[in-house]
Amino acid sequence: MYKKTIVLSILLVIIVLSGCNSEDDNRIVRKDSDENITKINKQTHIEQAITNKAKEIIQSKSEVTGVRGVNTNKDLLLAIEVTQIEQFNEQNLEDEVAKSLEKNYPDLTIEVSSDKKIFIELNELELKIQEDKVNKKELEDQFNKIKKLMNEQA
Amino acid sequence: MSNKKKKNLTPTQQQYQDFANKREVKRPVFKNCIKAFLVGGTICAIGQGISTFYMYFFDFTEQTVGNPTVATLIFITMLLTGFGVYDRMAQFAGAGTAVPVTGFGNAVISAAIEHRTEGFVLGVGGNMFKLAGSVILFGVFSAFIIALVKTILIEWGGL
Amino acid sequence: MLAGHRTWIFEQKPVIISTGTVGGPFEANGNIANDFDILHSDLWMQQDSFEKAHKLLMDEACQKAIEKAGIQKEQVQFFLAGDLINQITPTSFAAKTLGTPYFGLFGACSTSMEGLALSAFLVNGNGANYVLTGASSHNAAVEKQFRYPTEYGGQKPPTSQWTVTGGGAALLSNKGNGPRVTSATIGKVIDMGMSDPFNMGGAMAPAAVDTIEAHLKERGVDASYYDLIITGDLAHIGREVSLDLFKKHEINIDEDKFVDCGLTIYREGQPVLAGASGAGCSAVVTYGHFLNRMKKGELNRILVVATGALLSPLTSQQNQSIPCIAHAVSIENGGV
Repeated sequence: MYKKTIVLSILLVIIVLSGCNSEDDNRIVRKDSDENITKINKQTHIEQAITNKAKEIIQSKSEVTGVRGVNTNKDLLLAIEVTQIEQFNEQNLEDEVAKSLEKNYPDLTIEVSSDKKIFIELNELELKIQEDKVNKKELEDQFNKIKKLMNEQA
Repeated sequence: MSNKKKKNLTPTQQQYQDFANKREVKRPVFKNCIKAFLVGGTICAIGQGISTFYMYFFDFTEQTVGNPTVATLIFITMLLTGFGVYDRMAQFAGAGTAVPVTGFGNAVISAAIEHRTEGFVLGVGGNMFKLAGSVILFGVFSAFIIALVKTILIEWGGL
Repeated sequence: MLAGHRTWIFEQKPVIISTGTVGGPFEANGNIANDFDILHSDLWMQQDSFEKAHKLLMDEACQKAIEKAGIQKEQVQFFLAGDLINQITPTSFAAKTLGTPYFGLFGACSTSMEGLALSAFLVNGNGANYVLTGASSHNAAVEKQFRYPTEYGGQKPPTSQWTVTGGGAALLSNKGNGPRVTSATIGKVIDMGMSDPFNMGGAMAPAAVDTIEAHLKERGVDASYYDLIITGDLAHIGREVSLDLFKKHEINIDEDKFVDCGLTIYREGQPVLAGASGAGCSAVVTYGHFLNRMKKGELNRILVVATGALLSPLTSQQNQSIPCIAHAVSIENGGV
């Protein structure tokens, strides 16, 4: 009896939590075991071509399993997910990725993070851009917020 | 028991100790390890759940989520200790409940509860770190040693 | 009187005219809950500290014993008791309430029989008409002093024992009805160099064996003379070690007649690991359970051997060994 209650409550929590995720996603999504990449697909009024290109470059690295990113005219923010074993090496990977991108986009400020939180935030921002829910001002605010989070120290 | 200690004993004492040792029930080390692994792992999974929760719903990054997660775990420990559940869990789990941060919290909180009757200053204040004090002391001390070793290796070892 | 080196034979056979036993919630769930006079449902016992609750245990046990004997507390001439707390304050504070002349005793968990032996000696030598003796311990108060805080989550090894929350008192008189104290053997301090405070049973077993051997020899009886030989708090490990020691010393003791208070008081399945211990353990089990059985006639002659580990937290932290002691008192039905 007691056990049943516990199992039921755990199930309930899982259902509720997973229920929140069923949003419409119009991005181009490629997901499998070692690839988790999204692209803004239609021409929204916010240009994301740079990000889309950068994502492709990063995804070619075998250690990286997922990428999210947003760019403005001056900055490019990227969040990467890496394989379990590479988690120990995350900081080095960030630098590596940033360096390889800097060659391609010398005039952009590129910041790469492997932080889960940045990944979540960038994912949300991507969705908003896709749905055209943000104007320039809001995007700027969001962008700066994420940038600030990236540089927060514990 | 070390051999050095045994030398101070008379032959009768040594004989009896061997005699008694044979009859002593040993700690089930392997079973304890498994239990500790499972319970400790569960506590860590709960901690991971809490930190993921904070990351999704609040503005914490992986870098900064540690503090609120630890605070939450210690708060839960406080409740469990106060209601007298934690020591029972610990009897089952052993190192599983002692090694995570909850064990440290329990050491502080249990001492604080225990010595409440002697007043706040001399009782709670004076005895709160009775058990945890040495954890803090040697934790800081070993951190210092490690930092020293690291510095030496980087400065002169060319790492 | 004195037989051999350390055995007293009491010709007057002082009578245990009444007893009082008080227990806590854990004992109420135990094996012998019916043998308690008062059981508390709460470890705090409506007091604001465990030490005050400890004092209350002793208080109530004494009151109960006096009440059951039907005498006034002013008639009690001496009070001999002790416990495990620093400077035996719970007992001394209880003696303050009682207001009788008082000897404070410390023999760790052997205090109960130390008190009974001395009381019987006093009564036997016409030193007193009514003597009250007892011992008590409180789980939380004792754990607090000897081990870790009560709520601290430390895993105890299977050899460790659970301190009884209980107080037992017995009133002795030179006349009246009841089981009689016939002899007592005072123990020597025995130190086998054991130093693990979580294995007291193993440390105390040699002391118990030594005292029982001396008692049987000096009183000139066989082990089968007694219906039961009851040890204080040897628990599982100590009991087995002593049985093997008896075998080694070629003393015939029937395994079924060799029981332990620490194994009697709790049910199987209560989380007490090796068994019970504490000054209150032998007191409540002897004065409650076993004397009740004697009154019912199930038992006629018992030998109670309370064992005590004379350590303090200080000595065990300084890696000193645990010296142990055991006192034996024989209680018999009938005769004058």
